[in-house]
Amino acid sequence: LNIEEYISSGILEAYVLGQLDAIESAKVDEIARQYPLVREELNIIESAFENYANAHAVAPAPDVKKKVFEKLFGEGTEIDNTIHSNFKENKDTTPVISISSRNQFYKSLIAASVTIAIISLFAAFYFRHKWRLAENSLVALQQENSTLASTYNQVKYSSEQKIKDQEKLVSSLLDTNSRLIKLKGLPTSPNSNALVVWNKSSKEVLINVKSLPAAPSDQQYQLWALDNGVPIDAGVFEVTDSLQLQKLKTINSAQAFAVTLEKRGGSVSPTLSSMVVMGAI
Amino acid sequence: MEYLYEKYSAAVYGVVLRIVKSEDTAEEVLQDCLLRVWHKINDYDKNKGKLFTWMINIARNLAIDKIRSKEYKSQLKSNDIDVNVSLVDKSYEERFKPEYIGVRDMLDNLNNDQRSLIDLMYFKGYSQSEISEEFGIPLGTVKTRVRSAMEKLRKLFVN
Repeated sequence: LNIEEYISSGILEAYVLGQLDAIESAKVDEIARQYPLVREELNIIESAFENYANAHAVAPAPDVKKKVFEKLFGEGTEIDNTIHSNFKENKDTTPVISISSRNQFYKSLIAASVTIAIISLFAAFYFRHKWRLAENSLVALQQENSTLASTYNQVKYSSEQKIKDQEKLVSSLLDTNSRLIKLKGLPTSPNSNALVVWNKSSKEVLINVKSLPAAPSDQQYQLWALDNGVPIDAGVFEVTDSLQLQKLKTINSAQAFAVTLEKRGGSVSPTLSSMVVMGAI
Repeated sequence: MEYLYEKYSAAVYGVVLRIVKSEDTAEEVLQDCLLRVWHKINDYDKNKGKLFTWMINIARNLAIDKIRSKEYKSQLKSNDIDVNVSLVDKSYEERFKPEYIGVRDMLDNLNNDQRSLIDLMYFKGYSQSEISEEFGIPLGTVKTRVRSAMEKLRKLFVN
């Protein structure tokens, strides 16, 4: 390599002016390392150009310094993050500032996402809690509702039953063929009494127990019709509520009715000693 | 960084102003240059040259990028170029640093050919072969003139 020729080739000036590509300037670096003369010439060119620049020096307006340093250190917190990535991007011509602000943008984007996620999580728990409460009270309300419904049905049934009984009683009493027979307490049970409705045309017999002593569990009251002195079985019945009419066996002809306390299921002939009420037509 | 600013901002600004011919743009480029120097200071290898050389090359490239951008071209078109030139000369006179006055006198030692060659290389980013092609000067002549200009500028340095 002819050093004189190399030095005068113009490549060193181009090197100092940054006009060479990476391969060419690496070559110049290598030669400068090997030849001190080349290194020396590079120093001279650098100084020559520096002097040339100084000869054209113009101090910037005083406020420029303030502006530049505000820009530099105003984004001070961002510099550390961007500095390393920027070192690698030698060919990058984008202003560094925009990278920082892009970073800032992504940071706030991430922050916003995290905030929304946290809020959503809390909201999810809150609504789940609400939902559980609502479900529990719904179950409670449904149970209450079915209880009310069954109570209502019972009440409805029993009141309908009562109304039917009363209608039956009233219609029985209003029937012109009906005879009302008041059975009065005998000396064995003076406070007892009952009412028998006997329809002469339909032969139907109904009994309403107003007041009878409760029968022992192995015994039942039995109604008898007396036809010309002969007792005829008219059926057994239970002691029930005062307004209920119990339908017993049909009786074709009778002059009086009586109730005796018999064994459960009834007897063929009445036990006269246990007669409690009696009434004549 | 402040030291860098005090030491080099006038030279960098002066060169940039010569290239972009507008104070606002020159301030912008100076700012971009300092930002880049700040962010890429680890890229600087002192074995390969002086810090000033590295810095002024960054500034020059930024400034040349600027005047080549379309935006800047259309902006300049609407301005009166004469105004820009006189503006540069005015600030050049006003804020010229006294310690460089001797250097400036010495620049007069360069003849017109030498000065315009160095200006083309230094302010327009021309390579020597580009100058040869553009102005129809043989490449050998360009090299000789640059060499002798370098010799003269070197003397300024030695003094």
